[in-house]
Amino acid sequence: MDAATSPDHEATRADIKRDGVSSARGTLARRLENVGPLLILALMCVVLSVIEPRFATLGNLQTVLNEAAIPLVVASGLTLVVLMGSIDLSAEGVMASCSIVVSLLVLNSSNSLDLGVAGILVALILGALFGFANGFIHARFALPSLMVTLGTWFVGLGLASYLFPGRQPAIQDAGFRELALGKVLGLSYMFWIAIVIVIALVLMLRFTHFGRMITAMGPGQAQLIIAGVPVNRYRIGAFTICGTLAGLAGIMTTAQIGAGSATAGADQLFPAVSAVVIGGTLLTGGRGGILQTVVGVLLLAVISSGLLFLGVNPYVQQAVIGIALIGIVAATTWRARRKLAVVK
Amino acid sequence: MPKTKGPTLNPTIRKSRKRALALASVVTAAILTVTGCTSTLTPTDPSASCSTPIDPKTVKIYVGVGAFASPYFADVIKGVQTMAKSLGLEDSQVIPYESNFDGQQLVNSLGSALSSDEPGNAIILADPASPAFTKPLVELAQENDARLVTWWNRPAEIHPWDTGDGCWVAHQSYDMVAVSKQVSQVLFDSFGAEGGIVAIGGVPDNPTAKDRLAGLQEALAENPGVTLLDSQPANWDQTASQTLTAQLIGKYGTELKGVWNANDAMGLGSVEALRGAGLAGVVLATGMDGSPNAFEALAQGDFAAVGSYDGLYQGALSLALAYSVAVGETDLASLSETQRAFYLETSLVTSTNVDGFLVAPDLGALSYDAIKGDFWAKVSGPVRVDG
Repeated sequence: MDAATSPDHEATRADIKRDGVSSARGTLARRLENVGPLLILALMCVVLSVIEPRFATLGNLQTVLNEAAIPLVVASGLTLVVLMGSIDLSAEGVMASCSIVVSLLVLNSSNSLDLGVAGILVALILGALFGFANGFIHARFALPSLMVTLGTWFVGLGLASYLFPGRQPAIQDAGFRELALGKVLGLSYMFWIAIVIVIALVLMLRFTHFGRMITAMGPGQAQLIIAGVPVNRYRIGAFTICGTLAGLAGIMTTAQIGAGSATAGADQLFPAVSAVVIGGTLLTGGRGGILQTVVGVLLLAVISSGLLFLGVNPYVQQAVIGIALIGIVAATTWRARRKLAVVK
Repeated sequence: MPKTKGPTLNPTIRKSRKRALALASVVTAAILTVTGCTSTLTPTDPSASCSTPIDPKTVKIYVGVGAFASPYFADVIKGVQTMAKSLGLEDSQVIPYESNFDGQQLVNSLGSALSSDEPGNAIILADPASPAFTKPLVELAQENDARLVTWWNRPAEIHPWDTGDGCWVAHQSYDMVAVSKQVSQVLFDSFGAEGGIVAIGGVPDNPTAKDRLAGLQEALAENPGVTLLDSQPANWDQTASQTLTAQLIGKYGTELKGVWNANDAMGLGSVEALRGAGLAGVVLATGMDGSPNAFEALAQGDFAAVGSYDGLYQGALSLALAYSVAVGETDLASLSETQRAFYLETSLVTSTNVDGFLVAPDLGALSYDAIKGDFWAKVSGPVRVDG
């Protein structure tokens, strides 16, 4: 019996054949992973429209998109950090302090300041500083981003409480309020700002060295360091953008509710993390992107609106959202679960 | 008056009985300690706890509030500080803590603070955030000989007169059902009491949130033309309420004639959602608390009514009463149950009387001399069983 017809050899050929099939299946699965969340989103919209025709009106579509503007900005910034395999939990604190700061600097009911656009810039710089501090402490001192950003979350909340003037500062700057109240095609300026940010980040990740390094850092930071890439610089840069966008989200919330609020960021963090993950960005980094996050944000917005339209008891809405999250993540990241397993 | 003597006993029997009693006490103490019932070991004699007068020069006043960044709680703290000043106390003697509406966090923070103090020289004025943390707070006060006034949250089965060994001076709250019913009626009247409304509630399991919704339900029962289209919680939060109201406008459109809210912050959030849809001033909202921004929204015609209670007075009165008891000016034993668990007055504020609420409050009226004549001058009645 020669080697070519030996059982061992047969087994090897069978393995090759199997590998070929599994490779084809793998490609299909990978494609499904990429478009899966989008398919679920489309399916959900169709089903909701059939069950509750009022869901499918133009007015409600505008409402869903307008309410998605702030989560889009928060989650897009967070995506950059998650792509590097890190996490930023500070959004709620940054939003709170930027909300109070901007409300005290533009024309308001608590003091005589009227800095207008300069006031908005100061609040954005504060957000950037929070992000820079997150990135610098995390990268320079090799501390876990989870703990560093948890700390800055509370620093942000503390700063907001400290600056809160006793009476809630109501915004009297009509131009600033226009961010939320002014509309084009029934969609607020805030929504269009969010779209511009999404496009800018997509282009940055795809076409700039900085963007490619962010994606590369997730799975291969060690190789990049060996290759002499200044990874800390990129890491700090990504955190700074994330902080700036959280600050912008705080400013947008202020424009939306017409007042500075120390709870401006309340309940924004976990939906943002959820949106990033269900969109398909791995918590281990390296795979995913801004457009996936957009789908994740829209999925959450549609679920939230859908539950309201279906008249689901508010006491069970959270539970339904939780189950939906698990279901969507399981369905769309099934192949990557081994990679995800490293996230304890 | 001579002491009454018991029956005479043989000295040997007396000795062995003493030993048996001592042994029984030790065993009982050990059992109670193991089972976590140490609080029942505290003496039942009211003179044993919180009986020593405080030293005004060094007394510390701990104020436990839900959140510093709440206009209402900011008023409460200001009321306490104003009263402290009128008592000649230093600013540094008033120490505010925020629970972030987490009672456990408050108990932990106060526990740490009190452990470093000399016992018997502290006053605690606090909202336990939930009835579940009222008893731990009372026990904390008792362990540290601190006088305590609680706000808002109290379980039905415990009262200042039967718990806390004289350390729990009083519990104070507001009758939210009554004022909420009044506010709801004004909202209904704004659209002729024929049409649909939505209700934005507070934290669902919170007793205050439930009371406010109960007031709405009572008003709905008396107005058959009004339909409650939807009732959703926004957890007291302005931003959450803005989002929720926008979604509800999207769902109900022109069916919506009014937006009822369980507090001012959510009311202001609702108004901004209505403004975004071009409905502000057409579809009215309501508030509950009495914050300056809510009064302005009322004056502008965005709100139909606001239920108001005076946080400044609440803070000032609570310190005045606790202080008066703590220095021995008021004898706790002489107070009635209504004087130790009471509602303060609330106000229904509408477009007709809002001007009176837009003026700056008179802090001079919050002095100890002005209040001590009658601590219960603004009491509207005893607290219901679970308030």
